Amino acid sequence: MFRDRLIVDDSLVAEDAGYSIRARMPWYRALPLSCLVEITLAVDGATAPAAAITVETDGVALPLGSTAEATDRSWFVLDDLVIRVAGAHLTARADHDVDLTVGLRLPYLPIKGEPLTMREHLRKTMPAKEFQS
Amino acid sequence: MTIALARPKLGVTLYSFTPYFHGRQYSFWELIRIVGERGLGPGLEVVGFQSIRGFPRLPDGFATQFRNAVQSAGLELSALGANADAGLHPDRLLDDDELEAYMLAQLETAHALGFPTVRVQYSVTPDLMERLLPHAERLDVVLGMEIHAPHSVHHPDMLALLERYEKLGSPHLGFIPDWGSSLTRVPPSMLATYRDLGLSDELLEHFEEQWKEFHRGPIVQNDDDQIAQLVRMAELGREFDGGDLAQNLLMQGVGLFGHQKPEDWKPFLPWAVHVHGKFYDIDADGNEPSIPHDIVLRDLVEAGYTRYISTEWEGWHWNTKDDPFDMVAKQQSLARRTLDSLVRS
Repeated sequence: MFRDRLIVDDSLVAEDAGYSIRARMPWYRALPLSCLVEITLAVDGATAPAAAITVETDGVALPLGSTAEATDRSWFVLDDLVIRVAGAHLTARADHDVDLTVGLRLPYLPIKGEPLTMREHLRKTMPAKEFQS
Repeated sequence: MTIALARPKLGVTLYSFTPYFHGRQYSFWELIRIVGERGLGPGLEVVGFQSIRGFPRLPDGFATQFRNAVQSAGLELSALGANADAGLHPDRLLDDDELEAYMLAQLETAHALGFPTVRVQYSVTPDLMERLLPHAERLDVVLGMEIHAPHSVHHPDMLALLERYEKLGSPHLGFIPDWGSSLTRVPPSMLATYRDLGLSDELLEHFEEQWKEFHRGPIVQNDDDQIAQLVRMAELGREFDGGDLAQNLLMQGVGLFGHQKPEDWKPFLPWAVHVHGKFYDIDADGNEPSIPHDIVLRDLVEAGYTRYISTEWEGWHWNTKDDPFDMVAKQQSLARRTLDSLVRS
């Protein structure tokens, strides 16, 4: 849902310790962060290791590995999800290729005890901004 | 010819305007105002987890601001869409105690906002519905189990709930028929849109033929039936190389477009407490090509139904050309015209 909006335009930022991009919720309602089942992000073909990813929304930052317990923190439909990758540096080039998959468990749609999951995938090209501290 | 004194009230769910809200084009407050200005009420339905940040918790002063906004727009509250998020944890479903607490928080919010009716979803079993009843009585809200595709009035879970309702006989319990459960064909605009986006005619024809085969029956009776349909659709996608583009089409073919006959709502209508007037297209003659409004409205009128029909435009899943406000207005005009022919006051 809303595939074209999945990656926020020009949201790639080169930071001291890595880089970040912003994603929009590919669903119509807020979902708890515990329902985030997949973030697969590759910039210029280099896939970010899951252990290097932190997600941040509505003032809460969590390593991707610990979102499963976050049943009381939500990604609201109007908010960006900042996906931050540590320890990876962008190569010097005018435009970067951003490839993102977001997978969500839909907690109200269990089938045989297993909620339906949906995945949305998008690729976009954009320049990187420099983080201004 | 039916001659009745009463008729259902019309209204809209803000879900119809999801692309505008999600796209940050119109705020929650602007949507309420515009619904009033364009005469798309009087009933106003809201999905809590869509429209309200932090739901079911409410920010300080929100309830008052909301009631004022609804009143200024000349609207009436029809239903709050609650969600039965049984799959909150990655590894297990909530147990009944947890789901009861999860639903109760939303019922309290419905009460605080002034909604008379709350939409409940299928993870709430008949036993849990019975446990929620005293809460509903105390909070003076009516609980409506939504019957949404791929479920139907023929699904054993819904029949079991109907039986429980008949035993309990409470005015605080009922059903919310969603017309998406009783389609007669795949919405034509969906096929046209995916063709324009580049899906092959071959895949689209096989998709439509597969949907028709499901339509011939048997209707989904349990989760295994639903899984079998999802698997078959996924196979079609692979067979015809549909890729990412075909994914939504194929899944929606199972999850949105149900196969119940429109006439089959009848035995459930005495228990209808709210209706989701789901629709996708309005053709050049002003009719809905896949949802026969003359049938579904006739049966509501004959059942003496006088609560709200919430117009729910879901064509935005693929149709990004038409304005959701215009689409809602067109379906309400169809509903009015049809009701005028059925009801003499």
